[in-house]
Amino acid sequence: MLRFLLAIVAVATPCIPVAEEADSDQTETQLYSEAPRFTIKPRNNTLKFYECSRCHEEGDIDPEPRRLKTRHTREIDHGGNRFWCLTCHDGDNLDFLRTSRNEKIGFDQAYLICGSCHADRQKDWYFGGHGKRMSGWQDDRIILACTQCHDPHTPTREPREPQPPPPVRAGLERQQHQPPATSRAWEP
Amino acid sequence: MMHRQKTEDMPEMIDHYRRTFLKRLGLTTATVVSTTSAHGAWGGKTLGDAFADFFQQHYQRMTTEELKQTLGRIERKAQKQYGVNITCTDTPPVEGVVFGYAINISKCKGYRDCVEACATENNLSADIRYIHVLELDKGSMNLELADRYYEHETVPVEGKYYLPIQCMQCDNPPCVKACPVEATWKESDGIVVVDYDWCIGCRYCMAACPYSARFFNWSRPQLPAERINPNTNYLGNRPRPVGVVEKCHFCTQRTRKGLQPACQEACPTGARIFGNLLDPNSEIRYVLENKAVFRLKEELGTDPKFWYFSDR
Repeated sequence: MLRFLLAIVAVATPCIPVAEEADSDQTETQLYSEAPRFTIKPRNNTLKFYECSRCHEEGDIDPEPRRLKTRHTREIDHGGNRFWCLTCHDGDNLDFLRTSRNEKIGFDQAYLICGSCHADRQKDWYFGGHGKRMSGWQDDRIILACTQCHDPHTPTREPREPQPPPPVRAGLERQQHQPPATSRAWEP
Repeated sequence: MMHRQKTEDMPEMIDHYRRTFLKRLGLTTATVVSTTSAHGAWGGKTLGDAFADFFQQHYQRMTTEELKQTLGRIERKAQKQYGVNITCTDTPPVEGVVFGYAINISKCKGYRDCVEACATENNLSADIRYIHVLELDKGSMNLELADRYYEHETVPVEGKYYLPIQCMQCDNPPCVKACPVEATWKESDGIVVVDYDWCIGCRYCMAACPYSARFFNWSRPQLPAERINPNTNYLGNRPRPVGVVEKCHFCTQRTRKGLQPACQEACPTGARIFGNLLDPNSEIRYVLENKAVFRLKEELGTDPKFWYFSDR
């Protein structure tokens, strides 16, 4: 696994201009030099069909854009029908992704693709204003990549059941919440 | 009752009371001595522990040796009361650190995962929750109209937004000023803590807190033994006695060791950002410097170290 990650870095780093100054054992790519350094929580071992090259051989992909019915994912509900598989996936080697600047990157570096549209969010994420930190507040910064929370094929998250409401002190009854007639600031 | 008696009965009455008192005193002493030698049953404590509990000093006045003995007594008490082996430590604040918290209200979806994680981590009684998630109409900011008991099949609900509240760890805490016995104070890392053994349960601090962030143990904490988190801290999540006030303490038992608070760890949306306000490279400083942040009831001058911001 480690060897494989290093392989990704080895392949991915020469394509990315800023990464050249970075250490060779670094798994992240810094777009903002002043942003605090971070490591992505590795994701490849959690992917169901990874490695893709086990089924897809190099060069057997038809690069013609089309709608595909696949068992990999649900309908692509992202970007208003402008995307298809090879918008983000690398057609030459499906173990990798390809950015809009034609850089070949690993799945852990998917944030480089997300940022080509969602640049503001990406900046926040680099600096810690968006996303989730998995390590302690003073340890090395380990964060989740975009695609660990948002399925890039269907980025909207479904509503889910909440945890139970807080208890009311023994002997008291919970008051029914009275929705106000209006509480909006712009309505009189 | 005494004022109803005729004056001439008085000496007789006093004598009667005196005799009853002496009788009872003798009886009590006998019971005490016999039980001490037989069972050592002082509410489950030994006589030595009961005495030491009674004469226990204020946390800030305890010597290292006294504190060590106190921690030992707390562990023994938990063993007697719940049958659980807990470790109670005294984790001091980290030098050069002031903790701050920021919540992205665009990200909070009202799942209440933080509420549950907090209850588990901090050994909360079944009727106490440190975090309350308020449900408000989008565009409104009237906290009086907020619903903290919302029950929906799924959240978030269309047209609502969610605002979690908990102790804001004010830099100018009104609760500390209200406490008549100095059982609550602000530590050097900015966390407002309570010495549960010094608290007299007057609840003045609860009246003083503008954020309803303090809670009172009306009964002995309803805490099943299997739910007890054995890693406890003196000024933190150790088991509380009845009749004392408690509150969120930014998980002192975790954060002072470098971990994130339990609510941050549990939040599935990444809405909660915790960190050191004195570190210019910390995530919380980025949020404070680059986002439009606000604090609740800022006009009161409490100076909370708890900010809210949104993505827009």
